[in-house]
Amino acid sequence: MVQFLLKKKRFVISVLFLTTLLTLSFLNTIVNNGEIELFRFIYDDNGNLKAAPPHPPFTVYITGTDIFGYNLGQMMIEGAKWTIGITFIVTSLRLLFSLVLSAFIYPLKPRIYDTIKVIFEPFSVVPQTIIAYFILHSVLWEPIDGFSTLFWQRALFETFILVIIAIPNLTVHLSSEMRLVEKEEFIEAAKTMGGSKVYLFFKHIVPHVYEKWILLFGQQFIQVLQLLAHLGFMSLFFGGTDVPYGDLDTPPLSLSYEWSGVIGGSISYLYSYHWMVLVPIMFFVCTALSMAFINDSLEAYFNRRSAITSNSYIK
Amino acid sequence: MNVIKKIFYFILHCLIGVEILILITAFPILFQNLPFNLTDYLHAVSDLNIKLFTIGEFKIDGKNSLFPIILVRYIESMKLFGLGLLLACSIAVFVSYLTFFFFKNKMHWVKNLLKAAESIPDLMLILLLQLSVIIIFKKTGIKLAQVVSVREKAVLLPVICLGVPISFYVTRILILHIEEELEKNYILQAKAKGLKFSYILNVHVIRNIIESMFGSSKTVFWSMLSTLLVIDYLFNLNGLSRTMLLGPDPFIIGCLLIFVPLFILYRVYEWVSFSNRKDNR
Repeated sequence: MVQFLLKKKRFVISVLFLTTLLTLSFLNTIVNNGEIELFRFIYDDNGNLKAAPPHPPFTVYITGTDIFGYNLGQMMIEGAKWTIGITFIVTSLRLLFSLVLSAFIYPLKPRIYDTIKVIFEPFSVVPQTIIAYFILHSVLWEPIDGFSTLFWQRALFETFILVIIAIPNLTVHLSSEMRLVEKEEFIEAAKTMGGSKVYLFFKHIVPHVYEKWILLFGQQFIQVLQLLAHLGFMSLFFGGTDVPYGDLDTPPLSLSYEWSGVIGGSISYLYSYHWMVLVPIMFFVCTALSMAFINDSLEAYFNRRSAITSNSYIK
Repeated sequence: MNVIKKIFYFILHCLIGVEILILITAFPILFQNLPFNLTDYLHAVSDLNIKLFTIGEFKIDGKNSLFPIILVRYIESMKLFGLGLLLACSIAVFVSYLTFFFFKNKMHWVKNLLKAAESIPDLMLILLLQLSVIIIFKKTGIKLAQVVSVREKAVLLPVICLGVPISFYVTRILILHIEEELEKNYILQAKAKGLKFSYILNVHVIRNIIESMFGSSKTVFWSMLSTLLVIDYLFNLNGLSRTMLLGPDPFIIGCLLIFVPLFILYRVYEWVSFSNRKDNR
């Protein structure tokens, strides 16, 4: 498996990109104490002011600076561990809970199963972003007299909501796949031989569907990333939005340079200093693309393996 | 008898869906200030139920009445949605015909490209489109489209932004279905009869895959609706999804306006679909 994947250029590049990003992010916190380089003003030889922040890309830093002159690229690297970490945690929890739930749901009788499907149906019609924004807004948006909740409470709450809004769809998807396997003949045979339900699940159903779970992880990762980008775009940041009441010039602030927060904070500069929005989104795109490439390589590997096994049966 | 039973279940399922939506709408009250206030939550749920089933007064922001406004915005949004869907489908048909007629030996290449493009967040594509229009305007003075609606309404660019991100997905699904259909035996027979490839594709294949395309339309609608929200904010449009987020009343009505038509559509599709007709025979 490792050999096959290492031969795929896309896979290697994607893994390298993600690991370098995360390593740099942690190094920046450990070595640099999480500080961001600041470059305020450029003077010419006579001491006259030549340029003031924000500096566009390729002048002072490759990625340009934000409105105060902080290095945008370093900011992104500092925030990478938060965004990727949150996405990773949310995705894993989503899959874990829906797997447990679908393991309990799939052997139910068609009538009960269909009722559960009907209950879960609204979640597959009303978009996640709208539900998430509506529920999270009351908790994450700072009231005029300040937050009455702690940061970790809000962060936990947001994770919980982001996990739970996807569970209905995922559960229906996963359990219908399990039900398809359950209809196969060898399951019938295993039942007649006296296999218990738990045995059947782990020995016969899981081996047929676990490859799809791995691929689903990549898809969900991209979906969560997109959801975070949407929420950040509407100024709803992870762990709460610091609204500067009374001070209209400063945009809402996010904590710890999390990417979606940087997007939301600089969205009002879109037309004047467009790189301030485009750089964080570029990082989002690169992360999503590398995840998609990793997924693609894994899928190619699984397809090849199943092709090999079916060939050996024919022989 | 069968028909009555079907209608009964149809209404029952619809009511269950509405009830779930009410439960979601009252959700923020459960978490107000984060400890659970279950009694308040139940109160809010019963209030909403009474309000909805007796058709009480819905307020948009505590003062103004919701009803004519949200319907107007709904129709506006749905016009945009329909045009975007049309655009996405035409792009998909165009691109897949192009690949099947001219790039048939580079098929895996096209597929990989589509897969990569599909994973790019729609936000990026929308912002890039908007910025490119602005940059072209700055450089040449030609205004290709209205970027933000202030007095004039922006139509062209929102439709493009809504259609293009989803069109990658639609194209990929369309190509997959066409490929699957081309493997079947009747295509072989048609080829043996000497029919042209374009004739087979236009008449037989498209006719047979429309139904399976509709099966994957749920994902398309779902992700287009979430793109619609971003477009509403970015182009300063007063659309449905932006109105929905103003408060609990607009939210529940907006959810119903999205949910009920799609619910009816899918149920009717289930009844008339080929697989169902085949099972009943």
